[in-house]
Amino acid sequence: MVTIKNLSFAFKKNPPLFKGLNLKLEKGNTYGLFGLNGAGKTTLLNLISGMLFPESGHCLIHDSAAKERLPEVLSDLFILPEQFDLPKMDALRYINIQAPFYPNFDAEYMSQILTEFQIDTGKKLTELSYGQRKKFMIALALASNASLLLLDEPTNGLDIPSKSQFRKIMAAADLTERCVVISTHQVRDLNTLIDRVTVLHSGDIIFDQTLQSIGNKLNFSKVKSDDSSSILYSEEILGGHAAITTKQSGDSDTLIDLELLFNGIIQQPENINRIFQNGGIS
Amino acid sequence: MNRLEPTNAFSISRFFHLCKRSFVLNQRQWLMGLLASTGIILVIWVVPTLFFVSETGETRFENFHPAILFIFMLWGLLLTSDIFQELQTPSTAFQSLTLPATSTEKFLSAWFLTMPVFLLVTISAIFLMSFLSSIIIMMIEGASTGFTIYNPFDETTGKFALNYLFLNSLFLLGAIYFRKNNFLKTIVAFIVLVISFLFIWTILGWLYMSFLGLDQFSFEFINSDPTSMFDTLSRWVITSTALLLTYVLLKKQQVA
Repeated sequence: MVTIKNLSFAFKKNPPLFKGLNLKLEKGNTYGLFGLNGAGKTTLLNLISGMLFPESGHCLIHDSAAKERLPEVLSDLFILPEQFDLPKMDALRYINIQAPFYPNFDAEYMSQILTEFQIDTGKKLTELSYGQRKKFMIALALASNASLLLLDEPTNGLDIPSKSQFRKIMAAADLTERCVVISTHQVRDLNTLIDRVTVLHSGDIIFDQTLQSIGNKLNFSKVKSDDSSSILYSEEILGGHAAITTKQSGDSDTLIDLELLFNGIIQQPENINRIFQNGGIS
Repeated sequence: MNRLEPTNAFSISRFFHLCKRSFVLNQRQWLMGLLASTGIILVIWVVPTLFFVSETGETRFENFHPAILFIFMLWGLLLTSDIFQELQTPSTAFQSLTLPATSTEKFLSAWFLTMPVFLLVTISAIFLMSFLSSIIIMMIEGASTGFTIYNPFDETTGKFALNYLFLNSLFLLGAIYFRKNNFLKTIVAFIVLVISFLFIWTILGWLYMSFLGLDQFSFEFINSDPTSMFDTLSRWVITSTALLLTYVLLKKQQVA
């Protein structure tokens, strides 16, 4: 669905953010795009949506260059930025002017999500709180039925019940024919939503694996000390160490700790990636 | 709900929906501008009409046409300057940049609203005011005054439309080129360009005269007849270039 080939990009008067970046995004997957502040997650989403143009290389969506911003491509793509402003009009009016551009827009589904999120559609969009506006846009993104959804920090600004609602709505949505990219810092919010972990660091994709593959090859457990040779990465926690270890044959499945995995990938990328390159359980 | 076909070719239904979208997004601002312009016009016309009714007809509505057209032109250029505001604000640009429509449709809808639609609204507003003014004058001065009404096809309106077409293209270019204070920046840029043009023209004139050994140089082009071939041609060239540049910049626009 999305093919990024040798993509280079730099903001004016800044060193290059991406130099020869390569990435493939396939439909039927929900990607968790993780990275430190300034890693370029938002820039990458802007490049995919055609809002920024690469200096060199390609970003193709269904074989069309994203920067061409073709209506056939854009009508099947929806981006939700982290920070945005909406016009001073009521929600229904806004839906009426935006929705016709999306041929698969489902008005009934939209109203269902808005009800679940408890958004007052009679209110002006500018009168809604930041979190409510975000929920409104999440509803619009899902109801557009666009097959490529780019969500930049979708849970930022949502209160705890809203985060649960978001997870519930996303889990209930039929995403089999869609490709969803969720960029976030809040890795814990996404544990149950994503099926692929993609980590962007120093202008490159340093890790890109399915949750299934991670679960097959790594164990996440609490250990007393971190001196075992099987430990790939560990962090001190209360009463011991949270550790990532190589999964041995016969080991039972452990819950994937995305935060620990992310820290491990950033701190010890070679250690973690070695396991996936070697392939298989030792 | 009406669905627009997601074709990559030009779509007339999508073009009209874009126009509707721009209108809905900007209607409050545009309506306020129209009311403000109409209010100013009524003040400059009603006051002299009511208090200084002249037998020579100096206070008649038609005598205020140039001033009225100038006020409407200012309103038109102000709304033209703001037509791409959604695109120029980082927090709203995504709505416009990822809107499934071609750049041609986005450009043409902006031009269509700020040029032909604006002219139609302006001329209709003046026609209505002229009609009302004739009735008021007849009531003040009696039926003998006669009923004169604004002719939208007169020379003043024709010149206004041509001048507006020219200025609209420059302000449309300013609207896409500058991020903030587009109206003022376009005026400043226009003045700077005119001064630069005059400066270069003078230098070239001096060099030309020195080369030919002549001792007189006149700036005849400044006082040339506005309908002259040079003036008309340069206006059309500048208008077309400004519109083409606006389209190219719109196509190349990226999020800030």
